Amino acid sequence: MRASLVESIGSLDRIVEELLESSDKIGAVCIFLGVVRSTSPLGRVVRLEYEAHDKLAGEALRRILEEVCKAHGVIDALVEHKVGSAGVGEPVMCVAVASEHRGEAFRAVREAVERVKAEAPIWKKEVAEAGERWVEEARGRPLSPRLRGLIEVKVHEEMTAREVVEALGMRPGEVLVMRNRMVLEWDEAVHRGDLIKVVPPDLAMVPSG
Amino acid sequence: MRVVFRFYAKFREQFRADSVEMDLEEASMLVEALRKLFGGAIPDGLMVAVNDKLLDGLDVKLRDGDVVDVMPPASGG
Repeated sequence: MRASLVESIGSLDRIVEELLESSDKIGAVCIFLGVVRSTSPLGRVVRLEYEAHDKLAGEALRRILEEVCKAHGVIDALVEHKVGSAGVGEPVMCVAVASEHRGEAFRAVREAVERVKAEAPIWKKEVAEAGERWVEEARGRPLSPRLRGLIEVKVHEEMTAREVVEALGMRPGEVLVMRNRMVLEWDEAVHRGDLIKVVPPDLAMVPSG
Repeated sequence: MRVVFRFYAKFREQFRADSVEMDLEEASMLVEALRKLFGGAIPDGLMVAVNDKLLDGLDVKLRDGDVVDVMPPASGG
C-alpha cells in the first residue's frame, strides 16, 4: 500500500506492476486517473497549481487507503497525487486498487477517490485565461463528528443505502450500512420496515453483500 | 502566550503571509482565537491542525508555543 505526493504521476504500467507484486490472488486492478481539463468557469484553463500540507496530506492519503482496503476487502491499493503546476491533459491524481474480484475493486476506487477529494489537505488553484481562483468544492465537512459506535435505523420509506447515510448527515465511506449482518452496496435499496445498522468501517466484521 | 498560525492556499493570500504570531491570554480557546484572526465568523469548512494533528472540532485549549495550521476545505484531485 502506498500513498505519495509526487511531482508527476508515474506510469500506469509501473503502477499495475507494483500492485500485482502484492499477491497472485489478484484478479482485478481498477485505476482512476484524474486529468486537468481545459474548461472552467473562468474560461480556458492555462494550468492548475496544487498545494498540500505535506505531513497531513500524506497521513490522510494513507489513512483513506487503509480504511477503504479494510472496508471493501481489497488486497492492495495506492494513490499518487501531484503537487506543483499541471497543464491541460496532465494526470494529477491516480488511485489504483487491486482485488480478487472486480466488484470490490470498482467500489473501493470510487470511495477512495471521493474521500481523497473531500478529506486530504490538498488544494488546487485554477489559472485560466480570464483569471484565477482557488477551487472550492461544496462537499465534505472536515470538522464533523465521527461515529464511534453503531446506529440502528428503522426505515420508513424506500430509499438507497446512500440516501440513509446522507439523511443522517454523514457521508458514504465514513460509515457502512448493514442489514442482516451483510454490508449493503450504496445503491442497494432499503425497504419500509427494514431494521438496518449504520456502522463505522472498522466495526463491520463481515464481508460485503 | 504566543501561538503561531500558519496559512495554506487561499488563506495565505487572504492574510498576505505564510504565518502570523498571535499574543493570546493563557488557556485561550482555539475557537476564540480563530474568531479574532478572521475578525468575526469562522469560514465554513475550515480544516485546522494543532501541532500537526488534524482536529475534529475547535473546542481546544491552546498552549504557549502551539502551531496552528489554518486550511481551507480540501480541493484536491
